[in-house]
Amino acid sequence: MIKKILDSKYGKKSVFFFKINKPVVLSVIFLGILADTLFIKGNSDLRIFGILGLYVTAVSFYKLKSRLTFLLGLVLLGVMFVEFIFTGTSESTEKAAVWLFFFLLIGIIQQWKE
Amino acid sequence: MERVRINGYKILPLLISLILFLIPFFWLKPGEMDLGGDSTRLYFYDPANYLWNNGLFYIWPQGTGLVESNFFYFPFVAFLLILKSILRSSYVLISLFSSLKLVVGFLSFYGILKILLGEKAKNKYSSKLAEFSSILGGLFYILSPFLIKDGSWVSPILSQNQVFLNPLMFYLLLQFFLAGNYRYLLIALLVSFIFSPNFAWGAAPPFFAFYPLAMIFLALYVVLIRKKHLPWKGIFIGLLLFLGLHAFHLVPAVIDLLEPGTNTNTRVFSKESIAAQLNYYYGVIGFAKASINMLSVTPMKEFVWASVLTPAVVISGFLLNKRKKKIVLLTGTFFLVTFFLLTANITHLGVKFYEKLFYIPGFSMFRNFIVQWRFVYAFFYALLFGQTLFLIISQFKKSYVKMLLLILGVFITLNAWPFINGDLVTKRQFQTEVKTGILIDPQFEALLSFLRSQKEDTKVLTLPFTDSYMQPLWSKNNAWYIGPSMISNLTGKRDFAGYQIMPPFINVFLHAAKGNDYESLKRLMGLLNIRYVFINQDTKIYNASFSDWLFSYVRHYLPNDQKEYAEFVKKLTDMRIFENGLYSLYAIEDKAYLPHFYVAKTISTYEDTVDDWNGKTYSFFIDKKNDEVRTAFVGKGVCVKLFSKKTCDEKNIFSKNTIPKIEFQKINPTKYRVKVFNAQIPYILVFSEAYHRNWKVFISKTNISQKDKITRTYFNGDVEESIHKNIFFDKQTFETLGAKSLPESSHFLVNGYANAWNITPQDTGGKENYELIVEMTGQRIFYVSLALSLIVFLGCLLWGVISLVKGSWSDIIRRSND
Repeated sequence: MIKKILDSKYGKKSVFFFKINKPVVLSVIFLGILADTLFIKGNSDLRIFGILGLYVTAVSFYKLKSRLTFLLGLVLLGVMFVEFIFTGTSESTEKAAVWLFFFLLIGIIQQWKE
Repeated sequence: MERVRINGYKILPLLISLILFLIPFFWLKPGEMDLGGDSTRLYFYDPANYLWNNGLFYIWPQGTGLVESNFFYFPFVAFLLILKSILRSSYVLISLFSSLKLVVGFLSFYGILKILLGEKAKNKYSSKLAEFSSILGGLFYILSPFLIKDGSWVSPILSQNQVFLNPLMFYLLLQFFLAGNYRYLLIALLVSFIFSPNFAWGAAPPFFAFYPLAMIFLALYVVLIRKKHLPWKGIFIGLLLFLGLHAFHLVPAVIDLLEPGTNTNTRVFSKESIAAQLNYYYGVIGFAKASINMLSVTPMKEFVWASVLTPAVVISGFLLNKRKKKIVLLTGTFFLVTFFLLTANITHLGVKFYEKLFYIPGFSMFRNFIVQWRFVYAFFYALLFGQTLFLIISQFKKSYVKMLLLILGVFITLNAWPFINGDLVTKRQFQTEVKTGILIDPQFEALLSFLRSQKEDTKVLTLPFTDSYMQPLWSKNNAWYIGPSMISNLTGKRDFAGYQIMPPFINVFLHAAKGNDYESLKRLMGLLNIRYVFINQDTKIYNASFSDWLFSYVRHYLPNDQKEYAEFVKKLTDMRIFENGLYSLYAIEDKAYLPHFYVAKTISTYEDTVDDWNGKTYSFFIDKKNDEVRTAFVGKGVCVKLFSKKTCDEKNIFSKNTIPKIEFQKINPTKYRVKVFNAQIPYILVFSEAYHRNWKVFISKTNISQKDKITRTYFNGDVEESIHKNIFFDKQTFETLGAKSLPESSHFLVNGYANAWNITPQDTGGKENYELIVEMTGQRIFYVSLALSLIVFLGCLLWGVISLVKGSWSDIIRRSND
């Protein structure tokens, strides 16, 4: 079914679109994570697992290396740390920590595979 | 002669060990002792009495004498007893144990990392880097914020030695798995025996938190990474020896677990209990903070910004893991697993998943997950830190490496400064800033000696009464002991020190006290076999602002200050039998007192339909007052089963006839001899000890031709108390083995908590004078399993000696051949 969609005219166009816009796609995903951490109030599993799903798809689609995941993890650590210094264990600090946990998890799984 | 060159960095671990060894000796001043806490460390102060009262018998040393075993203390406290007899100072002993934890914990962790990193070190420089990474990893572990904050490192919980035992056991098993050398296995087994409290049922949460994960990690490391076979034969032998060594506490614990209705059984298997544990889980989940766990936040506020260093090292290590070292990935995986187990609060799905884990039998032991998983998490975090640090510095220029190592070393040490200087260790008591290193007041010691010298087998009411089971004690150096009662643990006289010790009578006690109903209070004390009232009139303990939480509930019912307490005691009794400084001991008048054994003169029934002990007990003292002290309060249902309905409705059923006279003698807390004279009619023998079906009565084969020396008589000689003995084991220990006990149908609950037997002339073969043996049969299990453990222990020692001699002999032969 998925293969059929991808082989279709619009499918091919979409694949081509995502391929040439890799930096944009990854930036959008990461901005989504930052927005969830810093600006959106409340916790939503749908949001977290939705964005994580997109990232995992991007890893598989773009054949991303674990280095990028850990690099993003390092950025999330920075965000969490700054939030911790200024707001203590606030909601945004905790969210950043949860994102960091998932990025470490994905990174380690990637390294096992690599 | 060959000159031995020692590289400076190789003696660094020894130098650090020496410093770590010395640090705890500055925490307390000579003579001071840190003994308090939830499960107390009184064994450092008086190991002999602690062992006798806690480690040898199947009876809990406080209150009514619930049937609970603390046998796991036996080898540990015996070991302390030997050390104390050599060192002669509790201060030195406590400091030495703290040093042991620091040094062994550090060296074991260093050893583990050296093995894990040694495989990666390809040249001399690399080995040097591995050495430094191992040292910093070891330091990070032993000074980890997870271990030093909130009193984790020092809080006197049963399993506190896990701080050093976890890395030590891991190191020994790692060596055994890799080299197959049985000496490591043997050392691990013997260490586990000495530190049995860490391997006991009471320490199940930390044990099951660490060892299953550690064993899986070791197995995966050996098989997947080192491509070696697991020494299955050795593992099997080790497991058998472990079970043999620990049989003395594991067998009684397993029996408790499988026996329906016991606390352990209910906690593990009951669904209602799981619901209660889940409530606890949801109660503490708010305290679980993913950010705090990830950052490893230091207790030093000035260095909070440095908390980012450790996770930064870890993530950077993964970034630089170009060769995809499997050991780092394996450690990382375990790190994340333990992070989840420690945090739980990772998305709603994570919280729900965690909740489901509670339905695995036994998992509810981790209801307080933020504490239970802390040590394991610290272990894997430090393991990962050491390895990732090595990966980072392996790719740095030499000049940067030195700087980075120095910075990290300084920060790890400075972050733990409040721990190193002793502030976190000696000034933390139940989350207060109160100093814990006490000097025991000689006047209080005199009281303990006095109580020990009292020959009666009786109990004590300790005042001021607390909300829990704790006893507070102020020391002249302005430090506090807050922990389980010293009277119960060190004198052999069980006491009632607080709310949690007095079920099912606590509400009666409090309401009678508030209503100035002193007659009911005296009757209640008599019924509980309380002869002495101890009062500590130190105004500091009752009025100190920090200690308010100790009395906040009971204060509403009991006197509000020490002056009122003195009045309260005077109204209960004016027979002061001991006074030394602030400590006084009073005796309750004979009129209301019931000895440990007595024969009931009257039965009084109460409705056994409402499942509320606190309500039922009102009928004993308040609603149904009668003048006969020797009344047996029996549930109506039980009474009708045992006697006729008419008998149960009729009052004073026994007092019309002559009841037998008795003389009782305590052999030890689990065995008593009761001589019965002139037993012509059926009678009810009451034993004022917490009811348990394993209390059995046997008819002794001994003829009672002569009376023993009597220490005290009650009720005009109807009950006499002989001179008690303190025998743990002798040739008569198993005299009841194979003997037939009185039928279980004659054993019933009386007075809301105690044991009673309906004994008829048929039970005793028509004899009128005879001796009964009242025995806690569960104690036999301990004797048998202890014998097994000691045999295995001696076998292990012998094996160790033989292997040592053989090893030395082969060394000598090899050297002479060389």
